[in-house]
Order: sequence, then C-alpha cells, then structure tokens
Amino acid sequence: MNRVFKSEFFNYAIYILGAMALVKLVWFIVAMLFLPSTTKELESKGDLKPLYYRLYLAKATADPIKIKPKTKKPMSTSTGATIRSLSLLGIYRSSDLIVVTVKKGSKTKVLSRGEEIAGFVLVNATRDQAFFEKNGKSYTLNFKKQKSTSSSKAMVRDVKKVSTTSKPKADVVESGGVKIVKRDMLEGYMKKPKDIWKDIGISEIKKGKEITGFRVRFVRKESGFEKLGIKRGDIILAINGERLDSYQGAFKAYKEINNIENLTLTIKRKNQEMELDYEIK
Amino acid sequence: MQMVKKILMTVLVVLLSIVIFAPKDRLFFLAEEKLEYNEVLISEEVVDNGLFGVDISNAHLSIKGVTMATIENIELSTLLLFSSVRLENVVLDDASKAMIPLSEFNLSLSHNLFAPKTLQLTLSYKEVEKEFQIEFLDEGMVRVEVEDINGTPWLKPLMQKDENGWSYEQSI
Repeated sequence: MNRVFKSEFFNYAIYILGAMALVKLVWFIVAMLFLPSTTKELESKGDLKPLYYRLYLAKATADPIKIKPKTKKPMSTSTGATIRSLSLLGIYRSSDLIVVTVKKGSKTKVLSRGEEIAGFVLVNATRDQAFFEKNGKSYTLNFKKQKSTSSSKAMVRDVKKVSTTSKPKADVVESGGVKIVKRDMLEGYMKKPKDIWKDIGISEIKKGKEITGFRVRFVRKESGFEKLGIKRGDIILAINGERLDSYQGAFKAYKEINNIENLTLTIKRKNQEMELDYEIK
Repeated sequence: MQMVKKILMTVLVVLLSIVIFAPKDRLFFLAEEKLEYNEVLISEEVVDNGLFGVDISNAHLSIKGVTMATIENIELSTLLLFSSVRLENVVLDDASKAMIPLSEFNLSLSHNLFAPKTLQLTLSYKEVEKEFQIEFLDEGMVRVEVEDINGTPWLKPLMQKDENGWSYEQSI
C-alpha cells in the first residue's frame, strides 16, 4: 500500500493522466474544427421520372390521321364515334408506363394502357402513334399536323427522325417507322456485359462537373449497337426521356432493359438532336 | 535507466491515447470526403467506434454513382505503425461481376509504415485464399503481384506472367 501512494509514483500517474487528457483535448479541438461530422450518401434519383409528353412535337410530316394498311377504315360505332373523332394530343412513355392524352370533341381525356375512350381501348403507343382496339379491330391515331404559329414554334424542338434502312436484319427489323428489336439480342448483352464494351465504346461528356451525355467512341461492325443505328460520334443524351446525367442513370437504364417494351434514345448527331425509337419484342 | 523507462512508458501511453481517443468516426467521414474526389462513395453504412478503429456495417460501395458492391462489415483498425482493413461478405453488384465473377468474398488489406508504398491484400472466397502485394510505383503506377493464380482462372486475362509470378499494372 505504501508503494502505491509513494509520491514519486503518484506524480508520474498524474503526469500520464495529464498527457492522456491533453491528447483527448487536442483530438476534441481537431474534431470540432477540421473533421466532418456527417457521412456522405449516394444521391439517388429514386423512381422519379420527368414527364415526357410529346405535344405536337416535330411531327410536321405526319398526315392528319393515318391508318395502318392492315387496319380497316374507321367505322361508325353504335354511339357514332369513329377514330376520326379523336385527336391525339400527347404521349408519355417510360419503361413501364404508357399514357396518352386524347381529345374528343371539346373534352380531353388521359388514358393509360387498357383504358378506353368511345369504345377505343388503348393498347400501345410509340413515339408519335397511339394504337387502339375496338371490336377486335386495330386503329392507329397519329398526331395532327401542327399549325405553325409563332408561339408554338418556340415549343418545337429540333427533333429529327432518323433515316432507317428498310433492309430487315435478324435482330432488328423496321415496321411502321419503328425499329423492332429482338429481346434476345438485349438479353445477350445482359448475360455477357463484357460484350457491351467489345461492341461499343462510350465516354462521358462533362460541362464543369456535370455529365451532359455519353459520346460513342466506336461501334463494332455488325454488332447489336450498329443494328440499333448508333454511330460513332453520336452523343447519347437521354433514354426514354430521362437525361443521362450520371453513370447511375446509365446503369439504371441498363438494368431495366429486361422490363421495358419501348425504348427511345435521344441522341445528338452532327449537332442535331434526334430520337431513335425501338419496340422490344 | 528509470528515466528511460518513464520516457518509453510516456511515449507508449501517448501513442495509445492518440489511437484510443481519436474521433475515429469523424476521421472515417474525412476519408469518405477524400474518396469522393475520386467519385468513390460508401453509403448507407452504420459506423461504430471501436477501441482501435471503426466497425462499419451494411456499406454500399459505389463508383461514379454506380453501386458496385454491398459489404456486410468493414473493420478499419490502426496502431499508427500498422493498419488494416477487413471487408467481410462483399457481394458484388451485377455491373462489377463482369470484372470479378465472384458472388461473395472476403478481403483484407494491411499496411505498415516501414513499407509505406506497399499494401498486402488477401482475398478469400469459398476455399480459395490468395495473397497479393500491391505496390505504388513512381509516376502514378500501381502494380499488383501474385505468386500463382491457380484456382482463380478469372484473374488470368487481367494479369501478365513474368519470372516472379503474375502481375498487373495500372496507372492511377
């Protein structure tokens, strides 16, 4: 007991405790002044999708109403409504949703897939056509030709339809202005992601710290990407209306590819913004 | 002699105090900030202070905004001269499996101040255990060396064989 309370030992213990207290104090000051107090979290965009309505956009060449060759001429129904009595105002498409805005007379109705107006049931839609069924017959509704007004001109984006070859290819065929892509081809890329980077090279384009798109550095000949119409030098800006402003967005689109039926790539080619439309079957 | 003992004891106590009293969670947040410059992010994690380091559980590792892996537990510990990082139950995201086709694995990294430019890495999965040496060379190059790659055929396309074994070099 005497040894424990020897003044020399006691002084040394005080000295050690003082040193520890000093270290603790220094750390406290450093933590308060220089060290962050919160962790970093990945900013997730969640499932929020920007509205992607196409309102009379860039459809200057379309006939007022065009019916597919296969479909029969619009017929009067028991209520007297024909497909001609409907006007297509807008189409919103995302990977899992199709919404169409249709005008009948003075009334406007927003339809999702399976809903009907005047007996016409919405079954599908592409970039600028909505497909309906009524009494087992198919009808196609196109955007009406846009009257050029000074105010509407401002709304019209420089969206140009991409010229496509009519030569059918095994994985990608063209039908009615829309390329139909075999799901097998995309699933092949899902199963072997390495093949993606053999077939296409992309690099980010940044404006400051923000990613504004992805430039296609090369596309391998005869690859799936070439069949999709993607060319070297294209800048991919958006997928299904969602801007590609991060790698997260790009990978999200990649992961969802198995679940989508329609795909629209917004690209910039030779300084012109254009859209590539696909139906995946 | 008594004086030397006291000095050594004091140094030891101070060093241990530096480690034990360090605000380890905040130092980890600082490390996260540094990693963020390289667009590497650890998110959704739960950070617990330990005596000599931090325990991080349920961490999601993402690079450039893309989730690459989920890590059940990360154990960071240091004794100033020696430091180690243990990653347990690393589950790779589909995007990363193209590079490393492993479903689940453990990883441990150790570093000591006597060889500041070298890291020892141990990768273990199923019944395979591989020892790697990571060396930071001049001119921003990093060299990964492993003696043999038996049992890890997925490594072969990435690495080159030389007289010392297999190696991989990458500029950073």
